[in-house]
Amino acid sequence: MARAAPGSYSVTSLASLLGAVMTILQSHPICERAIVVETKEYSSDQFFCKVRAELQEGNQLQARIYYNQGHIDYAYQLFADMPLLRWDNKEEFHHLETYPHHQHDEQGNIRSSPLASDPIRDIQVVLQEVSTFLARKTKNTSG
Amino acid sequence: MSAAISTVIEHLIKRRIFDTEEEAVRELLRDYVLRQITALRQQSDCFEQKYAMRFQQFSEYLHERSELLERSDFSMEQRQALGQAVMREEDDWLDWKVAQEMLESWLGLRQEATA
Repeated sequence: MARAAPGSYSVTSLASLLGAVMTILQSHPICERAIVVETKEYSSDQFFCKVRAELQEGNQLQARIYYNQGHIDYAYQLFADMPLLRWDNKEEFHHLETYPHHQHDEQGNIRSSPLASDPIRDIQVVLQEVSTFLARKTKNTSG
Repeated sequence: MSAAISTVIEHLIKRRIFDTEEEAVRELLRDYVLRQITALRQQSDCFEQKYAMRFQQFSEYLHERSELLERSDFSMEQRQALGQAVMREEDDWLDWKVAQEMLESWLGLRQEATA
């Protein structure tokens, strides 16, 4: 598990994290609707949430954030009928300079990732990258 | 025990569901913790059935799958299929990990509360 980057958003509770993530999703122009799919809470030091945003043309973005005593495991996945893009910090791909943070693309390639176990900053980076990806996809389809 | 808690529990005492307030609180706590444990065990069992292995084995299996993705001797179609399967499996891995670790926490609390 990766420890949250110094100086990053301080996770204080499930409610505050969920509130902040949902606000960002619901106010982003590419999100049509956002819902909380699941939460699990043992204490203010150990909790999990899964949220999903519906995007244009049947695409969906699902975020999983697991906070456990200062450590964060996360996964953000864009999918339609199959997975398209994914960012996570599962401890694989040691050769990457951003280890354990990495990104999967729809061709099965693994790349470095700019995420840093800071959910509030990370979700905004993901939304930006997803916007770019979907715009390019739309352009390729129509062109 | 605070007056507010006593007022809530009074309904159960009056009906002789519990003999004392302490017994009521203990039983309600036990029941709450047991519900959390049961739900997490069920989730963990579902993953065990789906993959026919324990979490530790699944972690090792997924590690091998990730190493495979780093190889370059795949066709484009093979890489794409493996990449998408790994993305799905990693989602399950995280859900399973959360279930396992939360289960351990609740089991610890049960032991603490019944000691």
